[in-house]
Amino acid sequence: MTEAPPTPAPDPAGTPEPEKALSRSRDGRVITGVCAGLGRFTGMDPVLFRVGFAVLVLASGIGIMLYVAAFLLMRRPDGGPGHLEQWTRRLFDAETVLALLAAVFAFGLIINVASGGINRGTIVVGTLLAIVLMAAHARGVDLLTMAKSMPERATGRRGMTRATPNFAPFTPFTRPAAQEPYVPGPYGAAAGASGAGAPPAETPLQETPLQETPAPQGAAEQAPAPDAAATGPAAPGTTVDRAVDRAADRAADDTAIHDTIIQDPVATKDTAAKDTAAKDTAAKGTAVDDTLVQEAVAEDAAAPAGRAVGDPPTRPFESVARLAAEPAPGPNTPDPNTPCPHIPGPNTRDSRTPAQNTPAPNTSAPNTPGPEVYGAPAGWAPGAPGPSVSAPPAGDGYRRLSDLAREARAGAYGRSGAQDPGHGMRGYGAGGHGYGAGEPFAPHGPYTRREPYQQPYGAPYPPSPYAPPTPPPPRPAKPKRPRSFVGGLTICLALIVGGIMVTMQRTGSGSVGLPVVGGAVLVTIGAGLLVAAWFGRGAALIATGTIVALVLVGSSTVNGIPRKVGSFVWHPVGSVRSPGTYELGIGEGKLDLSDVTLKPGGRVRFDASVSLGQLTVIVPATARVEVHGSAKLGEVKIDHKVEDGSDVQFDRVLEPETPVEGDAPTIELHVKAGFGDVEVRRAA
Amino acid sequence: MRPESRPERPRRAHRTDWMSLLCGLLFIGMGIRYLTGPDPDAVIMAPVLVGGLGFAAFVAILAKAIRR
Repeated sequence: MTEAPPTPAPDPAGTPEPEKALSRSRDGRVITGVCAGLGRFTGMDPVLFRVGFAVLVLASGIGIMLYVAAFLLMRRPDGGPGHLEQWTRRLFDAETVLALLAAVFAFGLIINVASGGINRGTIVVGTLLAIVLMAAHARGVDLLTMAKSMPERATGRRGMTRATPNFAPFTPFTRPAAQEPYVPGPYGAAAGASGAGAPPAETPLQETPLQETPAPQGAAEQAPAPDAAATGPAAPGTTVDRAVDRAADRAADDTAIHDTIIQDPVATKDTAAKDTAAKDTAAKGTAVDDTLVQEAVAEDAAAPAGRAVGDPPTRPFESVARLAAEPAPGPNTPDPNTPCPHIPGPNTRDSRTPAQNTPAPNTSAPNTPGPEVYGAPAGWAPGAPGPSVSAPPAGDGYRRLSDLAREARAGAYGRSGAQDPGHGMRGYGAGGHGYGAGEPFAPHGPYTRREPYQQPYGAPYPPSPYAPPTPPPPRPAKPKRPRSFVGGLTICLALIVGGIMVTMQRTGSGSVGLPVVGGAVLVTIGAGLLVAAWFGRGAALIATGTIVALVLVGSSTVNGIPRKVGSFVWHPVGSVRSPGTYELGIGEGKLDLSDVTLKPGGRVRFDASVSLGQLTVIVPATARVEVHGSAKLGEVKIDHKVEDGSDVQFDRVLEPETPVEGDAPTIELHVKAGFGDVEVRRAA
Repeated sequence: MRPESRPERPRRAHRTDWMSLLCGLLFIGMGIRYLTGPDPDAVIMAPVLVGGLGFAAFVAILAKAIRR
């Protein structure tokens, strides 16, 4: 018996409910079914989730990030593994998925706080996160325990199932071979490996006594079986239960029934040896008359024609004892040619099968093939006694049924069993395949299907030209290439390099923009690829490098691509060249023009822009400023006057606050914002 | 005594991955170009990138075909 895998202790509150998977829903979906799936899982209206995601998207970008994370984490609408589960070859339970989504949510809040401090987006995100956490708490989620378990969940030690080669969601289901009881053979050594794979021989063995015993219950009415042992004085005392017990004993030592019956004292104690004395005497003879053989078989009218032991019983009246009596040269089966230690003598042998008992080597009967070997065909003998002629040799190219049966046996047990002469004699003595015992002459071969040219025979016949084309042998599986760490290592290194460059940019120690950062990352990836050319694999690096290179090339063509990220303060002092250009990608910029030297009556132009964020321009109080402000989505504030909305265009001229002798210098200021705010104000 | 007819171990050497090699050289060149000096013209860099990748793939396919 195989040891059952350890199962988790059941919930003391009762039987645990089947785990509910968090999957996307195809019904009622709008985009990908994430909100519908969440609504179905929580029992809430999916509109609530949609509103939440929309608010998060509008408040900050975390809504998109959270939605993508949910899309990747949740399972498919048909219950299959989600994208992330397929990538990681793990199955996440619903609790883990929700915990990871909450972690992403919290991570977004942290990003918001880190980037913009406490602003509207942060407040919205924080409020929604608090609502979500409180709702979870109200539904019985222990938030503290969940937070503590996050490291384990993230590292895969908890809340997920690792994939195995037979992992059901990732591999097609294959029917276990143990479901077919007759395939391994009743004497197969592997049959008793587990409870499910109980020895298939038990079933026929348990039926045997019922068929042998003329029980009044009618259990043996299928099989007439006028067995001498069963009909003897001991037989009336036997009951069905007893017979079943005997069958169990027989099954235990995995021995052929024929021998077991002899060993069984109950069955053989008072065996009517008198009835069989004459037959035993005849059995001692070297040449057994066919008439005698057929007479012996006629007593056992239900004895079936011999066949491969592995085949299931096909007829209800078939005596299974006869099947079991056929020796099986399995590893656990004693050699039928060896003397049985429990056989005291020929007088105690089973009288109905003299041909089987004859070839015991310790007896005087020689082990010679002959008519006794090819015993009577049980099914045919009573009605049609065969001729007492010796079997003529079959013509070349034709095979007898007995040969076929021998080949079938060889197919079931291997060639060694088929080549064993003693085995063949015993096996077919009572089976009734012998041609000489009445089998019709079949010069054109048996009317049976030819055996497939496969393993047991080693293709003894040439393949027929009319046979269906054999499928090509399956390709040998490619050996799995060892994992390569070069790609991951290089990408991590490139990220580190990029982070260092951005940090240098923010601290002002160097004037680096996105092209420089991207160039450094690209060089790092290229170096990793050079390593991967001889060690490891570089497919992932090629893809990453291509993406980075495309972004770099694209950023130099499209002005909208942000080049600088972070907070910047530009403070030009003295005379500046005109026009001065100050660009910011994402972040917060401040352009202080209060210390710029301006010539009286002169005109200077400054261009300042921000793609996403906030931009503040401080102009000197002594200059006349022509402001041309624009914003795609946001507000433009020029000296306490605000214009907001989408596609804002706000132009205004600010006269000098303090009187200036002569002509006042003029600053032409063009400020632009993509998504964000622009403010122009006077210096204090 | 070591047996003289010692079975040779299967070859475990990593054959040159021409795709990785050429792409790596291409990326290094492009990165250095962006690191130094003014930004290059995208009209030049985009064909360089596409052509370089295509050339690397072509050479890799040739190498695979020759090895086979």
